[in-house]
Amino acid sequence: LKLTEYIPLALLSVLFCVLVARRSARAFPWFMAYVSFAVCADLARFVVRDRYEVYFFVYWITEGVYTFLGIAVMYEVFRRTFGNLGRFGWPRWIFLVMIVVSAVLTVGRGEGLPSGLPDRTIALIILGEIGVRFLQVLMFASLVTLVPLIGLQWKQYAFGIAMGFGVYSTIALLSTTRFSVLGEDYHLSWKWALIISYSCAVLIWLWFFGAAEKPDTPGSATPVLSLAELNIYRRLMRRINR
Amino acid sequence: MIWTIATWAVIAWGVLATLYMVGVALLSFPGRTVDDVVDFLRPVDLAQAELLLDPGADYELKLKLDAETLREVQRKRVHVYLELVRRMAHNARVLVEFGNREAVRRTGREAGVIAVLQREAVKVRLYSLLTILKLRVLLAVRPRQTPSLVKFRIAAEVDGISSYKGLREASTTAFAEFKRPVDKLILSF
Repeated sequence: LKLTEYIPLALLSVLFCVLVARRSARAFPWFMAYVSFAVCADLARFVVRDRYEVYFFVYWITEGVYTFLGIAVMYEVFRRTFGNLGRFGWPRWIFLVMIVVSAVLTVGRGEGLPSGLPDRTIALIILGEIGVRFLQVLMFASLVTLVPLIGLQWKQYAFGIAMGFGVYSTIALLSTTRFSVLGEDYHLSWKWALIISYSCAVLIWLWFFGAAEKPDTPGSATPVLSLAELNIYRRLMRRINR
Repeated sequence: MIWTIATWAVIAWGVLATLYMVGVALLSFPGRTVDDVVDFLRPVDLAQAELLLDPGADYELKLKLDAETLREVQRKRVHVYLELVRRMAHNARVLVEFGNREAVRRTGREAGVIAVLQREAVKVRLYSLLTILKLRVLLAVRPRQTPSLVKFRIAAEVDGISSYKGLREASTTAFAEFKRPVDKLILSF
């Protein structure tokens, strides 16, 4: 039964092979780095699972790296989805706003952290993880909101990455919030909720990356949102600001 | 307290987004081709829309009708315009879906035509959604008022009538490019 905890590792290994076969490192270097690291981290945890002290360090170091990679992947998704950011000032703010909102929510909820944590670094890693979960949900939900509003094309890799992270993070936040209320009694359900939701996220990535993304046409060099569309939103934002 | 509410709001948004995507994946139209457009479009009487937005007609009504009748007529006009704008939003959505599918499959001239179609459809979609929102809020907040439709011609700097005409032109060009008869498109659009 213990081995079922390593189902995500098996799925991630398959995903890694699919990403290599699709040569996704060029288009999504950070996501590729994330998946590669996830395979290595899970393997390392598996190898040292019986040595408590080593496992402790491996676990928390890898969690810290996951936090950093999670933010990098979200920025990659954001840049890919919102296109050429260099020409306009305001789209850059969307990501910054999401980061700020996530940070504020994390700090606001930070009071709920167990006070008996032995190490301040671990507390910071946990806060960082919660912040990244917020960021991932915000990114995913924002992109989904654009689907019915402007008919955003969702069958694309960037959307798939955001969706995988979004679904996992939603369930992770939900179960973590419940865990913080119910305490140790909920620990087992919390653990399984995370394993199942992360497996679902990897399955979503496999589903998206399983199909070849259509090659870019000359007309769609700026992805998803065209310059003209961005102009419309820029004017809209200006009107709102007035 | 406020952090708990904010956290649950983010979680709820995530859950709704997940459920919506499940619905889209299971129920959405599978790949809208050029042959799956005409049957799904809803007729929009642009002449009627122009008349509803005409300041002259609005002024005439104010001159001829008493306050009570004017309020009733204006509210009816708002509902008619809401229906027209809803159809515009629907048609724009259908054409955006068609554009999304074809944009990644076409190259050269066809890709250019599709890009124009997408641009026009997004403009109409944006205008119509904002107008629907504004009218709905207005009807809900001030149910006893007699809202004039004149100021609803432009939303987010998009002229509703002109942009819809632009969308018609773009879709006609796209249909011609894809060698499909445009007469049925014009009739149902």
